[in-house]
Amino acid sequence: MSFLNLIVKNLLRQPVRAGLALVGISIGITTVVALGVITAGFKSSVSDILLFGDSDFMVAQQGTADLSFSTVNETDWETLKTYPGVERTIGTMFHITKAGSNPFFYVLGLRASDMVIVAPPIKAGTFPREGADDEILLGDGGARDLHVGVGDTVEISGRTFRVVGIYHTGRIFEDNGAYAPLKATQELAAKPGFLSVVYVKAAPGADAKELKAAVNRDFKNLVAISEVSEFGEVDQGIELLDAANLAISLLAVGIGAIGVMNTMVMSVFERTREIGILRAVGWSGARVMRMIMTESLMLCVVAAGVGAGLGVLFTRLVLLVPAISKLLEPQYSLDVFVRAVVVAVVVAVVGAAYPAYRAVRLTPMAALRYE
Amino acid sequence: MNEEPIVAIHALVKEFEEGRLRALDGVELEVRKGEFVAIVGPSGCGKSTLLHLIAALDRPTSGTVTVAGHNLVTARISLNHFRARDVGIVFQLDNLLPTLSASENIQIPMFGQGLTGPERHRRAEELLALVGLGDRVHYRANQLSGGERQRVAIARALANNPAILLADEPTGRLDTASGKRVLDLIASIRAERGLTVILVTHDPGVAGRADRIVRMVDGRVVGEEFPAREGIAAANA
Repeated sequence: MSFLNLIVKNLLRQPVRAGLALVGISIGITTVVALGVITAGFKSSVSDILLFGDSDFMVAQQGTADLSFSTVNETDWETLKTYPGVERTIGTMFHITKAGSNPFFYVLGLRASDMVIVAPPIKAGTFPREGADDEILLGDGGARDLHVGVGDTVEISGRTFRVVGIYHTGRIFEDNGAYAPLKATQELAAKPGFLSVVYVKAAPGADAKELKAAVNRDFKNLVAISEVSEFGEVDQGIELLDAANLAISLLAVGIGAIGVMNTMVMSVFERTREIGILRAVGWSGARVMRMIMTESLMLCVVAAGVGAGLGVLFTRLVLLVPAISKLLEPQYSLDVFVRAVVVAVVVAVVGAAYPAYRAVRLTPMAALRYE
Repeated sequence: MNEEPIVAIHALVKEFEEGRLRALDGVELEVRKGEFVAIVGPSGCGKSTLLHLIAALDRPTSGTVTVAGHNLVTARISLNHFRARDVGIVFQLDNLLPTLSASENIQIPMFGQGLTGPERHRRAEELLALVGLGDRVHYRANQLSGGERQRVAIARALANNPAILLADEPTGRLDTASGKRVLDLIASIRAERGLTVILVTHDPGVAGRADRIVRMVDGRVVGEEFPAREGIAAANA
């Protein structure tokens, strides 16, 4: 009989209780994994938005709750173009609307000349022509959803466009949306003369960080950002999501931890006399503590595995909802699963700490006398 | 018989309830290596408390306890190591772990003694054969009779080849036949291995099998008898 064998036998003495504790902590881990995968997906989308078109940084209105609310005056765009060290700027208008079954149909408004620079990979057709405000590029997901192809017309926010090309970028919110002419998008958003953001690329040899700092210094109402961590300056969505993720995860893990603690406390109290026997035949307090801690760890690590599996399953189920599948691309990063294991280990240690302490504190005789 | 004292107890006092209850009141006792000593006396006389102090399961209030050369009061040795290797203890209740097999129960004291899993298993099988339960290796404790469980407990006490076997009313919960088998087993193992046996009982029949009977009253040793010598003297009279 190995030490681990003994641990498994101890856990299986009360299979229902151990099972319920496992379910409790698994739910906590499921929450951590599912929310982690979803949040990582959103952050990945943010990263794509931030450095769109191989830019060095993005300029947007400071302090907006959501990037789609950002408003940058076209005159500021013109000023940015004149900054020393700027190779190019791309003014972009975001417009989110309902189209087909997608309630978050993303329209990126760009000048036709900038569309060629950004160059979403074209699967069929070509780019819109300069000045042709009724021509549009559709993502392949959007085209599928709207049942249209090159040459067809499509209605977006009450305006009719002719589909001249189909693209696929691999970025889910773009592939389920469209690239439209800037002027037309400004009209759709009822913001003529305004942009959502300006993407800036520094010229070769120019220092992008200095350029970014200069923009931040010179424009009081605008902010230049290049990192996901700075995204909160222009969009509180990620911060809210992070906060909600943390709060829900803590709650779920806390409930799981109480379940584990309850299981371990009951288990150790019931076995007080047996622990006395172990001490009487020469087991050290450290070995008894290791036994209790390992029982808790084994329970929680199994729960981490079950919870991680359920978390992935839950995320996939969520993605069956069309509206979500067109907006979110989950990121199954190692980081999320490592976090799940760390949470499980912390819960195991916290849950077993008191019962282990109590078991070790008792003298062999006190434990043997316990009724 | 070797005359070296393997257990030496001097002025031993043990109090409970913050001094309100004195269980041992200046006990003096020596036990020779290989000796079979029975400690007898009425309930509450302190005989089990004395046995527990010899087993280092508890700490005395004052006095000294030296066992197998280790002073358990100053305790410069690891008491865990002492409990695992120098003494084996059998309780009135068998105190086996119910979900483990007979073999697994015997392996419990062997953890941390440098044995591999297969070595522990082989040794447990040998000990089960020694106590006549070679065919009960995989039986769980709750599948064994009371007498069989107590024999497994004896095998567990011998797991690490201790020099001293301590037994606290080992036949107290057994029927006469099972009790006799357990005592025969202790006697045969003692003879075979030269074990020192200290047994607590209030059954005169059980005590009569010892080399020496130590009588206790109110936490003190009040006398001793030598059943074999007296039996010979009686036969010669």
